[in-house]
Amino acid sequence: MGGRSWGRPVSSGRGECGGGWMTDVTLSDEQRQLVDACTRLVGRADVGSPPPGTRAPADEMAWSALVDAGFVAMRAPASVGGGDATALDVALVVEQLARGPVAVPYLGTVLALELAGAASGGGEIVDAVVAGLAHGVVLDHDLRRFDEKGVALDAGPGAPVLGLRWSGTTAEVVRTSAGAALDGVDLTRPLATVGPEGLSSRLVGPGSTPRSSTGPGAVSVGLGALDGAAVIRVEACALTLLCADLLGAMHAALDAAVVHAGERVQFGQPVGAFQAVQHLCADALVSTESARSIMWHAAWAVDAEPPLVALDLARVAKAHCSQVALEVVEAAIQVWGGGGITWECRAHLHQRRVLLSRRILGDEHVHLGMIADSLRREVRGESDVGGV
Amino acid sequence: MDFRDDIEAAEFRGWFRAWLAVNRPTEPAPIGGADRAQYWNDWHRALHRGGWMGLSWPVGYGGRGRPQVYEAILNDEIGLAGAPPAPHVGFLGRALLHFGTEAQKLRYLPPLLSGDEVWCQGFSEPGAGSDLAALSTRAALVDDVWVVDGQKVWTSDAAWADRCLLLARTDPSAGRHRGISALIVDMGDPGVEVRPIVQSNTDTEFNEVFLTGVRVPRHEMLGEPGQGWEIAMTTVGYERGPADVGFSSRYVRTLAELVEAAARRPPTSAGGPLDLARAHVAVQVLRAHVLRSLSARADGTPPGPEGSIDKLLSTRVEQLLHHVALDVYGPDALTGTEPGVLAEYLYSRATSIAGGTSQIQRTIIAERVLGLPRVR
Repeated sequence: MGGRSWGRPVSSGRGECGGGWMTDVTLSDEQRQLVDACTRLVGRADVGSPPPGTRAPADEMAWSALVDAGFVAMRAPASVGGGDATALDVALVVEQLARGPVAVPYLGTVLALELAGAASGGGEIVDAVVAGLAHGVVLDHDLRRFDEKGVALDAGPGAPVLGLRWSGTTAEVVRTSAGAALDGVDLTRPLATVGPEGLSSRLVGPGSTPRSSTGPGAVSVGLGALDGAAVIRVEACALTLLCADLLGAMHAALDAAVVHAGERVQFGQPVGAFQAVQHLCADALVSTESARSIMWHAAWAVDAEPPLVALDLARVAKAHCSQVALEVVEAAIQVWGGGGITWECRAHLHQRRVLLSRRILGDEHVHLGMIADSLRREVRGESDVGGV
Repeated sequence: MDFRDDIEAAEFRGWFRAWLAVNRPTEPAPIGGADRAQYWNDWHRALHRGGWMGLSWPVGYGGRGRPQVYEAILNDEIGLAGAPPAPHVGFLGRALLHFGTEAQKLRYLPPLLSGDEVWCQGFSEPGAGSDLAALSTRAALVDDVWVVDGQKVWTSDAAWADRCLLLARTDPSAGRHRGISALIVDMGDPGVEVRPIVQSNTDTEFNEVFLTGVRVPRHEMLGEPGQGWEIAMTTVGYERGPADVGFSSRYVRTLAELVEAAARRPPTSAGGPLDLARAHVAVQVLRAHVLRSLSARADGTPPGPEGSIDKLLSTRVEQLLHHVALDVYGPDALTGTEPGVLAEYLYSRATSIAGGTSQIQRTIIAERVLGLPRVR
């Protein structure tokens, strides 16, 4: 488990040694500037709830701004026009966009970039993302893992999407396109179907003959296989970015609720002066800040630790963030009172975002189960999953 | 951002690990009374002899002058080795470092670090628990001597302490907070009487302290007259940080032991494996948060109100772990087979009370971190 890494001395291999300083769990100046830039962008893109019963239209201006700022492909190598960014850098952007929330397919696109970047045949996709073309990702029907068919995240009908075709613990990255729009819970992130209904795939490996052709529909193109370690690394990164998304949503929901509690007067005083309301908000802050701490740790580990250690930490983070994010947005709605369940109040935008992101790639129940299995295996001295 | 040791820190970690392997006590701490105090003091002195006390304290006062995170490494290794926790001299020491005169620091810090002098903290009173500023112990200046009368309670280690950092009201006409000062009391003064409090687990860590005409020389005030509240808040700020009291690494070890125990015992609770997983998540979240908190005040800034977040997180972990322990050990915790499990569970209920209740922590967060209107 991730806990092992704590007691393990790191004997060599670091360039920045010598200051006598062990741990630096702070954002760098560049990362603070990144957050500031995103906050300004989110401020400009700020929208209220869309008209009742409708979805937020895609925010093309915000997307252009993100592309122009180099934030969309920031994790791609600089050699192909990216920014060599760390997972934490990307997570900070995801978090800020979730705070809005801004209706841009950022998370789907950076996850697609992660998949494409790990595959030998993903170069064209990486180039397309660098050029600003949004992509979605394909999840299975349970939203539990990347798949080749099921549900596309951050993709409207016909949009390009990337997924994984599984073979044991390894997988091939495949590109296809989204089918019909779904009535997704999150008003700022489109969901769509991907095969098989009406979209049976014609499966093509790179440079090979079609493996099957079962009817009309989207073409699914193989981009290259990922070994177990690459799959684990991608999953750790994806889980971490989902944590960042949950963090942004809960942070925004709490901020707005705290402002409201300071303004809304009942019994002759702001409701925020009542201890019952104060303690609800205080617990929500404990949840939010602890979520931030574990998200930072997991994001840092994606680039700094071996894949299995990174995945263990990412599971811990996703278990924690999935659980507390729903608690925090529900507490925020409670603080709003009756207003909190109206369409006009933005609280449901955050609530909807949390409902989706906590489920994607497994909620707390899924990851607690995996952590429990892993703890048991460790006691028995068995090796962990993945064969790496 | 980096969660790892640098080379120097890793080297230090290696030395300390090797030292611990040879020098850590193998017997568990006895429960209750003077035996327990002696056990802790022996361990304290052993750590000091090894050069491991006061790692982040200035060299001039017996410390080692290293960055604060070395205290975290020390606690990490102690926890991982299953050794007794490091002595909790940090929070009182920090109060002396922040507010003491040069003479006081030179006089008191080295023996505090070495274990030659044991200190206790005379804050709470029967009428001043969560509402600490309601304290009524009084000190009046008579011929350059503060004469102290009053009563303290929940005073850890008072029965064997040499000194007490005591809050007393020195100016009854000033405001609740501004009339309080901090005095350094010699526990050997004939006016000091200590009565142990027997806890639900039969331990006697806490005491009542009765002060009758206790004489404290004028120069034994810490800080200025009226500065007692500020000193108290700084002290409890450090007391609330799990990094400063070194608990968080102990939790890693406790959890590892529980996982092992659960694997070799028949399951006693349907939720067992998931409870262990929940505890693992809580411990890892606390660790990450504590490292972030320590980094945020790497320049030596005292903990602010946001330290209450750390306190609530560590309280939650401690109490969760002991709940899990009760379930893992099942009937054995209740039939005298595993007395330690029961004793530690009973004691764990103190963590949401001592150092400021969890309710007080939430109020601090609401009013001073979130900026919600004050309750009055």
